Amino acid sequence: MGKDLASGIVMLAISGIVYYGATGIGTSFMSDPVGPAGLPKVLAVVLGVLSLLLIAQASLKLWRTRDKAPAETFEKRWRPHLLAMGMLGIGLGYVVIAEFVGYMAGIALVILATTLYQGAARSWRAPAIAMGGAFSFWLLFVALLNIGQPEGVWVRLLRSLGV
Amino acid sequence: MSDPLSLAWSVLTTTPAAFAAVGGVAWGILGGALPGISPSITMALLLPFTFAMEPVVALVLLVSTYVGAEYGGSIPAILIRTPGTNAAAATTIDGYAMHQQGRGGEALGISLVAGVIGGLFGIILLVMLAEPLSNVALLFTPPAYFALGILGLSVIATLTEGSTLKGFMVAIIGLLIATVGSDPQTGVMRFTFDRPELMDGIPPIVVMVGVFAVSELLVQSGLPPWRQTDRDTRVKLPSLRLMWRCRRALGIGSGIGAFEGAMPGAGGTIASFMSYNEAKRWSKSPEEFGHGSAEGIAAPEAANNTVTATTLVPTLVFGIPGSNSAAILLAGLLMHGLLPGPLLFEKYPDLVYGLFGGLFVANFAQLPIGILIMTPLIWLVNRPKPYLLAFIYALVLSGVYSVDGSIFHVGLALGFGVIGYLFRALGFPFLPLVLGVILGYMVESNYRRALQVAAGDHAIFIDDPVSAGLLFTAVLFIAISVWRNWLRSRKEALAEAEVKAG
Repeated sequence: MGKDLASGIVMLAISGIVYYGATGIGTSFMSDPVGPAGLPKVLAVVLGVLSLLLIAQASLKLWRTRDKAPAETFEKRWRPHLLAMGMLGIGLGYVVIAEFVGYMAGIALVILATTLYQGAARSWRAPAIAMGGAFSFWLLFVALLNIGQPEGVWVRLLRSLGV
Repeated sequence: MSDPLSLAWSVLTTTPAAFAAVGGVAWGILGGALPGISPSITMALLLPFTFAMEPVVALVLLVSTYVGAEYGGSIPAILIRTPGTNAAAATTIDGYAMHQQGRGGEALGISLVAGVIGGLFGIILLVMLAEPLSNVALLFTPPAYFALGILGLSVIATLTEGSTLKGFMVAIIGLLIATVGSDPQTGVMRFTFDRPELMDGIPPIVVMVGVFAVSELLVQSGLPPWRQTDRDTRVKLPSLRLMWRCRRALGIGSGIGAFEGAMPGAGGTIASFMSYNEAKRWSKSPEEFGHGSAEGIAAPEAANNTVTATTLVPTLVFGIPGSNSAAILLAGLLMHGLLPGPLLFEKYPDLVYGLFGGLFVANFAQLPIGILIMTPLIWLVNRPKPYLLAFIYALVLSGVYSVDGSIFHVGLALGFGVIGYLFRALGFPFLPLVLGVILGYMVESNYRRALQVAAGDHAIFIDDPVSAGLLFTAVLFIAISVWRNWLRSRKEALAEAEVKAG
């Protein structure tokens, strides 16, 4: 039930931030009666009201169920979330490096990092599958389907040299 | 206008739509068979790659994926008691029991054939209902379209899992996300933080891939490995006699699927469980249910495949997607600059009937593909989870980049993945968010257009009879939901008091 209370407080903060942000939206001589800031403000207010209702509901339930449930261990409670954040970190790493190292290298690193992170055996197999997988992705999307992917500094440098 | 059959035939024979139908079914079966990868995630993974395709090919590919995924979900449900999709949960009951009796192949065969029958029934209804209903949409004015958007959001927020309050909060977040970018009426920038990538707004695909696929990856990373599937299983098609015995279950499943599919928020899961219960109630051998009853598989599988077709009725006619998967399909439509409604049927009949034709091909193709794909599918599903997750992750990152060639969008998708993950952890539903993002433009632009016409007088929303009716229905849905929630919490409080007193 503490989750609902925390969610309500966060949503209330979001509604406040959005309303404040909406007050800074410019106007235009072409504005209609509502204007560009109208709907964001209304939505922020409604979200604020709903957040207060959620906070009230959650507080009431917390008060009713005052007897504490047995506490979970840190490991059981937070481990899945920490694992998830690690996965997120791999994706963010790709976002940071992809435009430098290029698509194939970036995707190979994502595949390798994910497989090792998820507990695959540390053997020659993991990097081999990562490189094979990256090549297959490049072949399919870039070479065959002509779907654009990050080029990397090397490709851009070669292109600027007319190669 | 050419007749529908000729249009469908022309599209199927002159474009790659038929190949897209076959490819989509195969991809869908694969995605549906992977536990945790729902039809909507399977479709979301494909969505960015459909951007460069012809609209009809893209839509056929997406809808065929949906068809395939519904069967795919029954494979692990039957073989390892783990439904690949939520809608296949009802199939687990008798499917796994049959597998334990050494009849797993037979169970898969019943699932496949029942799915084809249900799907074909759904297509017939879709063809019969979609165009006539689209003419009703001709009565719609800007106030009515605004009211329709509000009704759609209200229905989804009240009918999806979790509390109604949370559903509405999430819908509002979705509508707020839709305001990012340039204002539709004046071009003024909103919430762009001077980033050029946000000037055109946040593409709904990025939100969907993030909320569905990325969040699922984050959740799966913390879960134990999936159970291995029996490698020797082959699909065994049921005899005509057996399918005749299941005719009542097939009828019940198809009927319930038809109704639930057309209802926003209901979808395959509710349809499959309701069908199971009703098939048991009306069966001549209800005692067999739960112990390997063929009817216990036929009913839910017919239902969830009928849903794949009938869910297109509100999606194509009104632009209100009835499920996560229909929302992905709607995004596919909008991505190609196509708006649902009567104009879609009038201006692009080849697209609409080509889509119906593709759906028809997909349902038939499901039969041979479902049989042929079993061995490679089991091999793939039995790969170690780290490698499967890694390749899905790579696919997600590649797909989002391909939308606009923007690494910023990839980062944004990861951000929405975190939001989706938090929503799951905190008990907030997804679909209202997705619907808010998709419908946001329609809701705001029609709201403001209506007020411009009425010189700022909100009475226009009541004076227009269609708008008034839709808004009244929205209020009714909300009131019923609030009342039901209050009854439920009162019941829980009384039960707690009894336990404490006892």
